[in-house]
This record gives sequence, C-alpha cells and structure tokens, in this order.
Amino acid sequence: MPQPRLGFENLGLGVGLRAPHFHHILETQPAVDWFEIISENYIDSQGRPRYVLDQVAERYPVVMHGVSLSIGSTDPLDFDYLRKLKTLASEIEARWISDHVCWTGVAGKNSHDLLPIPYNEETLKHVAQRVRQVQEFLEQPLVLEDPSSYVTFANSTMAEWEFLTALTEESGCGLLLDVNNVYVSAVNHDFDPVEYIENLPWESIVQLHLAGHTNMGDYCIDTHDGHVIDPVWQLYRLAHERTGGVSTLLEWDANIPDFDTMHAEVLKAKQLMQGKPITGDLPATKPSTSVPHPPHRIEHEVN
Amino acid sequence: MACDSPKPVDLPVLQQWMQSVISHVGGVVEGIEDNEARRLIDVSTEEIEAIITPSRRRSSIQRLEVYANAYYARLVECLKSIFPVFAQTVGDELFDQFAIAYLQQYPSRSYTLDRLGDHFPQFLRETSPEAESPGFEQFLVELATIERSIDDVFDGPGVEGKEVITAADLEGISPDDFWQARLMVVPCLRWHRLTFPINEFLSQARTQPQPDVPEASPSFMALTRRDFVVRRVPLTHFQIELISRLAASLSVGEAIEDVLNQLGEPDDLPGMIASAFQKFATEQFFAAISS
Repeated sequence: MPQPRLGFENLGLGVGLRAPHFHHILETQPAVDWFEIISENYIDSQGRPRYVLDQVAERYPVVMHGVSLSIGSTDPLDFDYLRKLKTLASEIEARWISDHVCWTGVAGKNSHDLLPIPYNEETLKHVAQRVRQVQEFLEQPLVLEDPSSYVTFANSTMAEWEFLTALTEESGCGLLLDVNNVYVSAVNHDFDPVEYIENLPWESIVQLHLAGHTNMGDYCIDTHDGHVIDPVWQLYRLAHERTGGVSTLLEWDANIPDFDTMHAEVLKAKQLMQGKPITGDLPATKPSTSVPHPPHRIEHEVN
Repeated sequence: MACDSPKPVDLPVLQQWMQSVISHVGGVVEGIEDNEARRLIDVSTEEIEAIITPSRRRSSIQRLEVYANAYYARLVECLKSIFPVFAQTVGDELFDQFAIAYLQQYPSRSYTLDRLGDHFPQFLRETSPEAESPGFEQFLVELATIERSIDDVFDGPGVEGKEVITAADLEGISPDDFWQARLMVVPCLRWHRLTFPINEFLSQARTQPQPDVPEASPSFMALTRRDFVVRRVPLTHFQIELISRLAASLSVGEAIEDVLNQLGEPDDLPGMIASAFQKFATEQFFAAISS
C-alpha cells in the first residue's frame, strides 16, 4: 500500500500560471498556495516566461504539468525532452512532474492534442513499461492525469478507472485526478462518474484538477474556458472525501479572466471542504474556443 | 453496417490510423476512406464501429470528428499567434488556407508549439509563383520572416540583467584601439535586408486594421530585446552592412573598409560611422568588446 499521495505534500489550492497574469502576480504577490505551469512553455524559455517563473518559484511551490510526454504513444520516448524536464524541475525545485494518460502523435508528428488510448492489457503493458522508464530517468514518480476524451475503442477491455488503477499498481506512478475530465468523459461515454471515482486507488491520487467545460447538447467539450459547474463540484467533494484532501488546482486556459476571478474560483473548494454549500455555475453552451483543452502558448511582446 | 466482433488491431497501427483520419484535410469520412488509412486498417465508414464505438447519442464518426475539428483549429490558432500581423493582413479566410496547406506539408514534429511556425516563411517562399519583380507574395514572405524572427527573439537568449556596452564605453576607447577592436553582438540581435518597408508596415498595423500593402522599396531593420520586450530598430543600408560584419567578428576597421568596398565612400563618412555606433550602443547591440 503506497503512502497517501505517494508521500507528496498537500499544497492546498492553486492555480495555473498563465501569461495574462504575469504582471499582476509579480506586482502583487497574491496569497496563492501554489502554481502549476505548463512545462513546455518554460523548458526552452530564455525570455520573459522563464524570468517570471524564476520569480514565482522563489515565492511559491510550483508543479510542472506537461502536455507532450505522449506516454501512450508507440513512438520512442523523447529523452531530449525528458532531459529538459528534469533540468527545469531541478532548477525551480518543482514539487512533482505530471502529464496525461494519452498519446499526442506518432511517426514523429505531434498533434498537440491529448489523444485517448484503448484500455486493454496490451496498452497497459506498453504504458506501464514506459512510465517505469520515465520515472527511472527523472528519478521521481510520475503523476498522470485522466484525459477528457471523445471516443472509445472497440478493443478496450477495461474501464478507464480499472486501467488507471492497474497502471498505478504496475508502475508505481501517481494520479492527477481531473474531476472535470471525469464528468466530461462520463457524459461522452455514458458511464457513472461516481462509480469511476469510487473505484480509483485514492491513496495514489497526488493532485486534483478543476476546470470549466462546454455542454454541446449530446456531448461535452473540455474547453477550460469558464467556471466549474455544480456536478463537477459534487465530484470534487467526493474525491476530497475519499482522498482525505490533496493538492487542488484550477485550470482556466481560454477566455482567461482577471487573476482574482480565477483565484476566487478555486477558493470555492475551501468552503466546500468546510461543509458549506457552494453555488456552481451553469455549464456554458457556447464554447469560446472550438478546441478541447485549448493550446498553451505564450504570445510574444514587441514594441 | 456495424460489426459485432472487433477486428484485432495493434496499438501502433491503431495510432497511425487515428492520426491519419483526424488530420485528413477532407474530414473524418474522407480520412477513413483514404488509401493511407485503409492501408493501415481496412475499414469503411460503414464498418467503423469495429474500431471506434458509438455512444448512446453520438455515432462513431461524430465522435472522431471532435478530434478532427480540433486538429487544424488548434494549430491554426497557434500559427495566428506567431504571425498576428500576417493574419491581420490577409484576413482569416486566406490565413486559414495558408495555414492548413502549411500544416499538411510541415506537420508539427516538436514537443512545443513554439516551433510550429519555423518553416512557414520557407513554405511561403516554396509555394510563391516566380515573379520578375517583387510583388504581394514576396511581401508576405518578408512579413512572415520578420514575425517568425520576432517570436524567436522573444523567448531566446537575451542580456537582461547582464552588462552591455554603452555609448560611454565606446567613447572611452582611443581611436586607434577602436579601429582594432572587435565587438561581440548580443545573442538576441537579428538583422534583415528587405525589399519592402516591413518595419513601417508593422507600425501601421498597430493603428489600422488593414493598412495598405506598400510598394516595394528596400528597407533594413534589426530586432533585439530589452526588458524582455522585442525591439524593432530601423537601420540604414550602411548600418546593416556594418553590423553584419561586426557580428562576423571583423574588427571595426576591417568592417568599415569592407562596407566601403561594397557601398562606396559616402560624403560624410565620419558622421555616418559616429551615428551608426551611437545607435548600436543606444540600442544595446553589443555584449562585449575585445582588442
């Protein structure tokens, strides 16, 4: 039986470090428990993004969250990328490194999307072996997130939660449970999100993600462009109870509001932990972006 | 026709097939029927449930379309953020056409979206029709080249927090020593020789939604970075030839003589030299000096 959260500390309630908030964060040093960065935006940076990150890492705990590990791909692992991840993690003293249970491309290409894998023994063996390789290289446990997904495969033989449970057992990795992704995938694939969470290995859950999504009528898109809706808060409450409390982070990547609005959204979790009711927003029905989990790129500044 | 028993498919093949289908420019249905996909997994659109299961409310094809719709949308959006003035100039519809054609020829092969536009100027050059005189296509190539360069300078190495050579540093060197000196340029310096006034156009694009495309007219500019913001610096012909030679490690004297061999001696050479070095120092072009 692993230690709760694989021994990682509960950092509290954090938000994603996003470029529109750089100035505000450096100027006001807001009382935020911790920040999560998109690793790919910083591993090569020698400009403002890295400068801001260094300032933030001096004052706040930072976690690195990647979107290009492609742990489920059948392409070889990219050790140049892993070396950069490891270097940055060391330089900013990142608390842990996470990515997604997905693949992003094959044959050398990168779709920059988080594509789903079939859940069966073949894939489990493949992914677990790669997780072990990555962990050995990084010299730390990898924390992997359940992706939101829009298709399922005919050759899947197990539920996503069964796959994730087996993956933690086979590889020793931790889980980043995105309760919004559970909700989105539950709508898209007709499963019960409560059953999903009830059947996860709670002691392996290192972190929780919250986000907004868009309800398209007969399916949902994980747009990260708005407030967290009430059913997702209910799943969060369940995950909080089952895990006993783990680091929680709000993702907001499109239609990004001012910092205080974004921070206030994640702070609602505190009320919920104290047993107070919170009012979740209604799901958006018109996406502000046409893409699931919008791309993360820091735009240039020029005079 | 739905198949009851899934066909056995290896993970590598399934991934190549799915990538091929969702990145097909004609959409999912054409992607499934395309020879590339059929060579990998020989299923038709009618048989697709053997690979992708439907949900209660969505067909297998509708479900795949979420990924297909997002594939180009996501990457085109990123390209727009790398080439914002280019996109503003040609408009959304034409930009999307350029971008989708580009992504088909140069799909992303990097872990980072920051490299997505690396080949875009080259792609435009390769696909531009041959022209006797510089026209709209050449203007677009140059505009894309400068925006790509801006993006490169923004997040590349810089000199923030480091000492640079100031005008006062240069004034403190004796004329003889200065003639022999070699100046190391800052790592964020780029310079461009252009057939269109791109720098002026970029300035106009800040205040006008669609500035007129200028007539061809030679122009020269540098890009550098201070306080993490990319700076556009207009240069004269003399200045760009001089800075390019200094960056190639020629001494000040060698560089000036070489430029004069190319351009001829101007009427006010001392004034031009003084003005050039004043500008270079003010704009922080030099990181170090050695004799």
